[in-house]
Amino acid sequence: MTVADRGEAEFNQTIHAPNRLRVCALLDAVSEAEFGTLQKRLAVSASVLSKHVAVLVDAGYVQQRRAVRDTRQRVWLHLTAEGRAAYRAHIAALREIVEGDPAVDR
Amino acid sequence: MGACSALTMAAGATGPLVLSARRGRPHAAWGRHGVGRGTGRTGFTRLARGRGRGASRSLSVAETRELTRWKPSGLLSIMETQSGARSPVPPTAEEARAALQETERARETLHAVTSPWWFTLGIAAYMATVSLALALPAAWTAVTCALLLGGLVVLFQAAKKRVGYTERVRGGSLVALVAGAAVCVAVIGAGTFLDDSHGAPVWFLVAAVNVAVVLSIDLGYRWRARKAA
Repeated sequence: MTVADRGEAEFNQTIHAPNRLRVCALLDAVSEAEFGTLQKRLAVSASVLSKHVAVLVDAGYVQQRRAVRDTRQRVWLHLTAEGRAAYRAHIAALREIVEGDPAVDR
Repeated sequence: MGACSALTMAAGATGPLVLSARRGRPHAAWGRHGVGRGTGRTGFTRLARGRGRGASRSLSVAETRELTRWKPSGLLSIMETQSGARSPVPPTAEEARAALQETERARETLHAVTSPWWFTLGIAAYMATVSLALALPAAWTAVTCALLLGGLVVLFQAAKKRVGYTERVRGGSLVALVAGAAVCVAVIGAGTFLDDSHGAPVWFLVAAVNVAVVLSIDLGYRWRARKAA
């Protein structure tokens, strides 16, 4: 069981990349999202999104599902349980960093 | 970080980044991976200059140590900013705050998406029909509800494909949906009691209230979307 599985804060380098963090933030808010929708919401090119999704898939944080719509193949993405736990642990770690900032106390 | 590890990382991240060796020394025949427009061909930017265009020269050991400060270093910093990988330094409080704000902004972009109007009308029609079906004999009510349930599944699938995602209901949305469902169930329960004394017309009132609940929740979602847009 990892730290993320236990619901504790854990900084995650894979998730922390700006675009991947945004991908995870969006996927955390949904059950499943289509690749094109993510691309539109994040305002990134298909190649950039594809690259970041591939990294998340390789890490086991995101799963893909292919479905045909209007004779075209669409890719649907969702966070795995491990990915969701890692993302939340990462967000908790970021919050800890922010709360540990002396400027917050002032 | 050594030059080789930096170059290995850069090569892993971008593709062709060549470091050739001659007489045991690194050779300055490496450069940036440039993509030719429409052709997919790569171009190399020579960093060791001074012996003519396209010439290459061997680097001294001191220069080799400085490799990471040169162009690959710039490339790596950009790529690592984008990838966030391999950086052993945790973010500062300011960076962490910015990252958290970015996640909030990303989530809010989802709120700007509204469900199609036909989905709302479909749900409203479903609630109205279920309410009116309760006035039918029990057997017909069961058949009608089963058929409507199938229709509801198809409606949700169509809306999911149209919108491109299915939202995880939580927070304010969850409260609104649970409250709306509670009102619908309460109104149907009240209709069952009033049916004995007032007859079938009660179910039209029940249907109207349920449709109003559905439309109210939808208006709430649309208000949120307008606010987020």
